[in-house]
Amino acid sequence: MSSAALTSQPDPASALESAFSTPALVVDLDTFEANVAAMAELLRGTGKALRPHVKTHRTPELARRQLGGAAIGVTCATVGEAEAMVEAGIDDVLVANEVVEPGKIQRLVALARRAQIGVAVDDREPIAALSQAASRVGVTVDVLIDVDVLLHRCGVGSADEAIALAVVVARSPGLRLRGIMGYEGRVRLGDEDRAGKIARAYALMAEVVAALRGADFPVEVVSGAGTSTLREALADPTITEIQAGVYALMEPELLNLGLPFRCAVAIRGTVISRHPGRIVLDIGRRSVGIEYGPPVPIGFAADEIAISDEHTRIAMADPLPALGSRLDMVPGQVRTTFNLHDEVWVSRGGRLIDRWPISARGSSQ
Amino acid sequence: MNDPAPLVTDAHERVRDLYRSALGRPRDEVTTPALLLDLATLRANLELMADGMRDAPATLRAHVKVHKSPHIARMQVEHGAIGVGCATVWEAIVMARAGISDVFVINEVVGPEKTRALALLAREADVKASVDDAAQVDELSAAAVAAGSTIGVLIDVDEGMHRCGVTTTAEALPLAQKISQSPGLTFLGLTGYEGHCSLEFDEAKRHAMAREAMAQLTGIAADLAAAGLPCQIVSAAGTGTWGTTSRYPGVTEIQPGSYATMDGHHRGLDPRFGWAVTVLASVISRRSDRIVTDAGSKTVGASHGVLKGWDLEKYRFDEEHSIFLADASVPLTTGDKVEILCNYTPFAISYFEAYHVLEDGKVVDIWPVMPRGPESRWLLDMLERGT
Repeated sequence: MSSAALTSQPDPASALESAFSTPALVVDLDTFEANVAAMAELLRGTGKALRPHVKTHRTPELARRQLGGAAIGVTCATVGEAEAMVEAGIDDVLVANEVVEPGKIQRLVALARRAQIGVAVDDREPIAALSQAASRVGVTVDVLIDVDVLLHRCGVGSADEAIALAVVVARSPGLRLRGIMGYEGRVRLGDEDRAGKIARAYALMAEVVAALRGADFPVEVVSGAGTSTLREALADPTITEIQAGVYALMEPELLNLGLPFRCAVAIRGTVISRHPGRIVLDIGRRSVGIEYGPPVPIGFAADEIAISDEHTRIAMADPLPALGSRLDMVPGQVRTTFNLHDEVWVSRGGRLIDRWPISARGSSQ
Repeated sequence: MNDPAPLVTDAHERVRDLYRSALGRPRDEVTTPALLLDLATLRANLELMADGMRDAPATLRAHVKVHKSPHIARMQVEHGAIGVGCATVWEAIVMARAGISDVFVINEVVGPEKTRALALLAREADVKASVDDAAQVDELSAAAVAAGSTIGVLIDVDEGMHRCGVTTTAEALPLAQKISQSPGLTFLGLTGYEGHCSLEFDEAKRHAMAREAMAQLTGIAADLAAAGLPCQIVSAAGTGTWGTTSRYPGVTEIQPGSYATMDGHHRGLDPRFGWAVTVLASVISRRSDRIVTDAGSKTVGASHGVLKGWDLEKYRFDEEHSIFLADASVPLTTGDKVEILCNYTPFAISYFEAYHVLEDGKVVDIWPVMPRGPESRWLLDMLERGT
């Protein structure tokens, strides 16, 4: 082959660069992998399992790269997410949420033919419906009793209620009682009585576990914890499985926790307008989630950031970047950000190497 | 209007197939969370706007960034809109392929892939864009020349939002001159959006602010005309200011969008329009003091919402859940369906791929949200292929 023919080979990286447009999500794979490795290191010797919550990114290609070792499977918030993960070949999925609609229960038991499926319950009727559906299809679905440990969302509030549900689950064909889950939610470093909140949450879980065991129910799995409570969960003797998800991509708000994780994802925008003392990017609330704060600049300084539907206005000192320049910012809220995009671009060493579908985007059903 | 092209009809067929189990079914049988569109309320909103614009000197251009629906856009044109306004070039491509020939990207279009897409689209539709910088004019001109098309250009005027846009005649005049001398471009006039007024809920104050903004906008237009560059189009207004702005002398068109779908914020500005878009949710957990639904900030959006028909206090919105306080006297139980009225509908729409269209309480159609974006470069590839 002549050298001319060699040089005319398409360069996949430059082909990706020329197919790029903004606003776009870009994950730095080196940082992502370092976060996954750091999590494995934290788990080493604890005897605890990790079940990364994939509602964080709804992206099977990222989920697959979080598994292995102590990471035994994934956690999902919706049946749609679970379907996308099973479709991608992941064979152990916990839907850490209540599933009550008949159509969704059917979809869930259909998944149980292809993968180990677990689900949370906090009420009798859905247990009966799940049991009926699982029996009809001839599968076994793992069940965790959801305990309201802090959030006042779903979940039973006491050991007595948990036992009452365990009695129902235990005599329901097609269901296997595996244990409990209790999600304490995001507990920020500056939250009032942070230590007390977490301690009471874990104490309630321990109390429910003891009560269930005392009543001769098996409790193999005690699932909980997010990235914000990772250290406390690792030190807790009751918890067996950790549901953290954000650790792999991180959010600026959690950096003060001193965890060995760095921000791995950026939203990349283009400067579309320049005026004295300010620029406007094509990033807006319809491309980045700001529930935990506005996006944080990478490699440039902003005096003020104002974000509307399709625009981010950045007050900054001269010299302003040129029109058409591309700038990166770290999303304040990774999960809602991913849910606004069809795909995530993948970079290594600052070069785009791939693009992956966020195939569970919008899978809220 | 032309008939919709395959880009739109195929997407329509795709979502109809995806959600076929809901077609013809009553609301309560729709899988949740789902984006609902009540057709009667939508029609009433469009008729109300058409009535309100009948004796106005300005024309109506419907902004579609809110709903991203080719179907709603076509209905807006059927109700008197001369064309559509878009936030992105990708929206403009979809709307042109929906059969709407007058598409205006009311935003700065920067970047070779986007100017190329705009210029290619201008071969098949009447395409307009706004600028606030000479560099954008050069990019657009080069793209139009390369594509052999003509793009209509309006100068973006900053009426007080301090986002994009020029503020004075001194800035606008050289831009207008440059546009009018640039091959492939036609200078059409000015566009401004007095969005800062829509944060003022006192009606009298809001309209006074809008008039002040229009004085600035039409003042610049008069200056340009005096300099030999008359503005064929002077475009402005949103749902909060359309009544005043559409009657302000010198304004030729208004560009509201939220009036069609509505939400809590815009009903605070103009309660005559009804809530046409809601999010259907299921009660997935019933505790003694509260209900938990399966629609949270990942479906309703970061601005959250309130329950329709139930006067229950919001406890919290999480990503996949919303929680409302409800003691035993509230007859809601696990599996019940409720509708959430969004405080700001655009955020909800961004999270869905389709509307469940309801008429007389039944699902009569499924309409695609498109382009879902925010980045839809594949539409440029489609134009490049000539398909």
